Amino acid sequence: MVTGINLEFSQPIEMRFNELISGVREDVAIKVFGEDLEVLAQKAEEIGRLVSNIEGVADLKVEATSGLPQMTVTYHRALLAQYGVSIKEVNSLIETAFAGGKAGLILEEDRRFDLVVRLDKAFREDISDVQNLFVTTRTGEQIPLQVLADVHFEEGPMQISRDDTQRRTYVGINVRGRDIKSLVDEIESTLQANLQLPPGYYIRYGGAFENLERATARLQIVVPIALALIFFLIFLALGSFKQTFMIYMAIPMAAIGGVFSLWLRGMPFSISAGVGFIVLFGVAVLNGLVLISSWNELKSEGVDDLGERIRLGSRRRIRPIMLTALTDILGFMPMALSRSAGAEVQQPLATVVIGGMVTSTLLTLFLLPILYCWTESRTFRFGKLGLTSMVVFVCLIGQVNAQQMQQPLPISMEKAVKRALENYPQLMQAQLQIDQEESLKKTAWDLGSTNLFTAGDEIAREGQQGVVTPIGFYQSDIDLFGIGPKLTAQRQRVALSEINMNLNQLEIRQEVQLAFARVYVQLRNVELFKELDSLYQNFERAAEVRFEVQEISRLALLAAKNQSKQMSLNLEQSEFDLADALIRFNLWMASDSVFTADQNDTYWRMPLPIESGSHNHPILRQANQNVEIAQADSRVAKAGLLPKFQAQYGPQRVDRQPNFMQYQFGLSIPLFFPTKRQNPGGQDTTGDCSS
Amino acid sequence: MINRIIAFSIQNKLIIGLLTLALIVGGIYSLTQVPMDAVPDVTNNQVQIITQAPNLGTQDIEQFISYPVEVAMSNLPGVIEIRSISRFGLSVVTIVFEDGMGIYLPRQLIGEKLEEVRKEIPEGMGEISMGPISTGLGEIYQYSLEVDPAFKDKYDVMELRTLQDWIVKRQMAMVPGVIEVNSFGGLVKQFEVAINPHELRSHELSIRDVFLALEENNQNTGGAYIEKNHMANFIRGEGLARSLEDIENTPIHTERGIPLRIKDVATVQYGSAVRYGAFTKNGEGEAVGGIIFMLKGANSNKVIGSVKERMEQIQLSLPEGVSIIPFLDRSQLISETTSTIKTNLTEGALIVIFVLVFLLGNWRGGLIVASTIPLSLLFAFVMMHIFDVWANLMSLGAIDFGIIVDGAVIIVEGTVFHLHQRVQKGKSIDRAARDKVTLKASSKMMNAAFFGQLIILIVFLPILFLEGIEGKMFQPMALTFMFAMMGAMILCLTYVPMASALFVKVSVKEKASFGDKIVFWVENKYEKTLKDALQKSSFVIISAVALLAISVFTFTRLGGEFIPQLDEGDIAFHIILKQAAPWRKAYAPPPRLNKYYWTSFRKSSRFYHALESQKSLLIPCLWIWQTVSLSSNPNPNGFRPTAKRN
Repeated sequence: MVTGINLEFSQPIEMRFNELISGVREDVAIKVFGEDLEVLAQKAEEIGRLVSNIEGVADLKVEATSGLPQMTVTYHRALLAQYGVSIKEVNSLIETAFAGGKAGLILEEDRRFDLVVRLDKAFREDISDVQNLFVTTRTGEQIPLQVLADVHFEEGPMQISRDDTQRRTYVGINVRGRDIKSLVDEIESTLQANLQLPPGYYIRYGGAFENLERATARLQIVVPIALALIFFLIFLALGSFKQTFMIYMAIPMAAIGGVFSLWLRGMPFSISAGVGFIVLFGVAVLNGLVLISSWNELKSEGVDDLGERIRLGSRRRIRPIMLTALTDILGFMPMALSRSAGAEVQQPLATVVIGGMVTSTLLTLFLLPILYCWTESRTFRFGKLGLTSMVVFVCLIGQVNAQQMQQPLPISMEKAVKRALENYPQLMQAQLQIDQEESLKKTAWDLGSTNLFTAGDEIAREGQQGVVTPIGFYQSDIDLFGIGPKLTAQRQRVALSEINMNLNQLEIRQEVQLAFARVYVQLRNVELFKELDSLYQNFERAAEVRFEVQEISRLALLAAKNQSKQMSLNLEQSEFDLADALIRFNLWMASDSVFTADQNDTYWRMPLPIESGSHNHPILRQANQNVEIAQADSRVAKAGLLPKFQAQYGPQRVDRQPNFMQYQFGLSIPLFFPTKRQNPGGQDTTGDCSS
Repeated sequence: MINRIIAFSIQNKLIIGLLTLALIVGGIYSLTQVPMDAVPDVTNNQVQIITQAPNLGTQDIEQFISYPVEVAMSNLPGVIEIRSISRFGLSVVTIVFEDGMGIYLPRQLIGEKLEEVRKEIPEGMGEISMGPISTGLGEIYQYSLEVDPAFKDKYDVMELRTLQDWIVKRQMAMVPGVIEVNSFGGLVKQFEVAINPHELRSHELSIRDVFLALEENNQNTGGAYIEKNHMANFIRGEGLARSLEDIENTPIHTERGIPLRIKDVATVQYGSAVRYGAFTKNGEGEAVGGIIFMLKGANSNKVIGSVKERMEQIQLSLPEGVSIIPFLDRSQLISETTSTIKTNLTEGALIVIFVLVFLLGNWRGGLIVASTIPLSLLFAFVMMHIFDVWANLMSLGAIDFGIIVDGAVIIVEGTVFHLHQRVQKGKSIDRAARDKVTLKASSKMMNAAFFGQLIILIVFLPILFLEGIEGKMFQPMALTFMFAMMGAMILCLTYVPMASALFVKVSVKEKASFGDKIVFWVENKYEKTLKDALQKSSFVIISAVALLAISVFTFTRLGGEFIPQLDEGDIAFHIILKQAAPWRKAYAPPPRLNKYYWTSFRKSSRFYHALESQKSLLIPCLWIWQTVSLSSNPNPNGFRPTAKRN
């Protein structure tokens, strides 16, 4: 091989894409950011050395930033001044001599060519030519450049790159024989361990690899959304959580196949494969949908036997399932196996879908019937304790997404009442009512409305202004007489709402007690029937034995069996009743946990509370209160007939002389009061009704 | 509602038939109109600001040009990233904008800012301009000017470069879709006044004097007109130098009555600008070529077609012995990928059709389902045309027909089954009865199939939310697939029931076809296995869970890469010389490298060796890089450049 050079392989479009998109041509770029070009170059070299031995690294390239050979002309300003030569002159001289100065255009028909002046080639060969370049001084003398300046070789920076306004250099790597992600991880850890960076310098990783990170992050959002959508749609189609879950099992099964097929072909996971997975999940559930819908159909047609239903439905639908699965798989085959130009991008997609379809179909065909069998047959075999738990479970689903089933907590009646009183919404409403009425008390103080005004008049002649009130203040409708009655009325209202509250509390107390009692009774019932049931089962067994030894007739045996069956039916019934009572009871509890009556509570030993005087009964008190309110309201209305006050005040200027003022006090008397008059009458009537 | 549509379709067969015909016509038309390319254009939205200042060194470029430009642009709305490269005489600042900003708005914003920046940059320090409106996919056509061996000595590289610049490049103007033509290689012709400093000094003149003399003796003028004979005679003074002689005879200075002319102190000749790049071909000395850039977003097939047409015309105007030979032609890649697409689609379709006809047991039914494939594809083309979705490898190559026909399969299969049952019961299957059966079967099956298709359709929606490169690659695919699915759904509601009612015949004979026998065998096998599985249910479930666990583990061991690389069939490879080699040595590749190329890659490939120059603006490249483009023509032996995989 030829030494002294670096080789780097890529493809035209790929190279352009890489470069345009990330500024580097390679797959992975380790970028070093910092201030000083020397330090950056040095660090880049070091990174290059550290990284070159990692497996998978190919075409290592350290960005060349220095090493540009330059002949630098450094001016001695003092000497320049001495000879009267300006820097601009010398600069343009150097430029013209070596680069060429454009002196005009030459036109050949419509082609334009530059007319350029420069030194003959023979005189542009060497550094000595620069040194001997003749400069004309102010006096017309010509002196060589090296008198005025120092011309020497110096290495300069070849290229300075910046990224987001920071200087940077980079080490570029192409990846071969390994996937990008693991390589970058290894590089990261190697550099972390072995590389020291001065303060203010930092490393970032870029190149095509950035895309993988970003895309994976996106996929992690996108794929769950896809899965959720699928779930939702299946649920929409079937209407049953159970069945939706069963079909959903096809998705992990499909994923198995997808992963295995990637692994078998030696392909790494890529965004292509990710998209393939998304497509796969959509397609995999189709088979399950077909199967389950056939079973549902058979069920609605009356095929009740589970085994028969499964057999018939599966057999009937194997053909379309097989057809669709086969066509899906075979449809992607050309893509998966193609070797022609451009197929590499599609291969992971196709591979994933094919592998996933195979496993998903197989497992759907066998797994789904099993699951269906399990879930359907469970309904017929629920035990006794199981039933109660089921009911409670259902209650919990109504209130909370139940995490697990809970055992009902026993609670005493007093506590139950207290709990209900604390939490029941109706009570809270009553409390709010009280608060509202309290706050309305303030409205009793009606001080009328405040007006601000400004006034003037027309007595103005020739420069004089007349009487002007620049600003005035006017308060009207001051209702002093109404304050008293209104306050009283409001106080009565508050009292009413308090009575209401009391009433509610009593009601709740009563209801809770009733519910509690019911639960209590049912619990006892259930216990009783349990005993009876076991008793009768023994009885039945005994009867069987006696039948076998031919002590009793078959009829007697049947009768015995019958009775025992009856007893177990009773037990079931009582369990249902218990569940029912529990539900009602727990409605009053208004909490997340389930309560049941504490069987040790001895409330029933306490005597029934009986009120001695009927005039304390809350409903009666309520009615009384309403009468009071009506009376108070009528007084308020009457007070409305009394006059209201008003006052006015404002400073004035007469003929532009200030320090005048005006005032006004008054009464407003409702003389024309048909409406006002009727009201007290109305209030009185309300009062009679309440009585 | 689904049932009503199906019923309508079955009853009004003629209308549906006509609509189907309309679909076919519309689809074929759209097929010709949809823009097509090999790969989706995944470059981000960027604009390059390029400044050439041949008299500034690297640090100066950075400080006086790159940095001010960066700072000025950093506050523009929608800017994602700013990068810059500063080199001797060249500054390139790349500004990346958000995709949603469009093509022209960023350029306008930058243009406004550039006005301000220009004021900040000291005079004479180079001119700032924006790069062409093109992208990474923009280099669609690269060519070189080749000289017929018979005329070998007539044209040197300078002449060729002149031809390239003034004939080829200019005549490529106004080709729709071409935004820029770049020349590279050869020598740019200049009229050079090569001064002999000793001569100059001996006359006590300076270079400045020569300069001034040339400036002052090279202009035309106009002097309005003199009216004579009722005609206006325009006065014109011709003072432009037109040839080497004119220049040679330009006086500089008069010394003792004798004019001193240019030719006394300098040699006037054809020279060339100082070079920063060169171009060789096949290792045989220098060549001249050009690159054509396509406007961003144009239809590459169309543009290449126009370019080729124009090239033929240009060829006629070139002098004898010179010809334009393209060596990188995007249409090649496009046609290759197009043929890949065609192969995929055809093979896929054929396989699906075959399986259907075989296993469905009813070849008419199979054909009906098969016919939905082209129909839904045409529907997809119509939608692609309307929504301006590109056809390329990603969008068309990924269509799986098996998924699209799922719905149709289910419906037709159900119809056939029900007809079979009916036949076996001995009932008649006249037209009315067929209609009824088809209606019943289709409605029943469609409810399941419809949801299935809807699920597949909706599953593609999240893909539309991918961003960046993968978004640009997979969105067309998702869109095309969705369009095809929608077409299939519509067809399942209209065309498929109609065709089934019309064409499907079930024979009364009891003999089952071969496909039927297979299915029967499968059914029995399945039933037996299912029974076993139901009995050993826990075993099945446990093994499924175990497999799941294993697969999760395997997944974590799979590596990750972004997107598999598209094999373009061409290699670009870079040789980086560790030290700046002097020009003349560098541009001829070391002979040993030459040999290496020839033995590794067979003779069917040509290679072009470009030292990239300043003048190709989109590819600012250091002059010590040598890019070799190998373009390989498809070799009947299935040659694949394997250097990439070393």
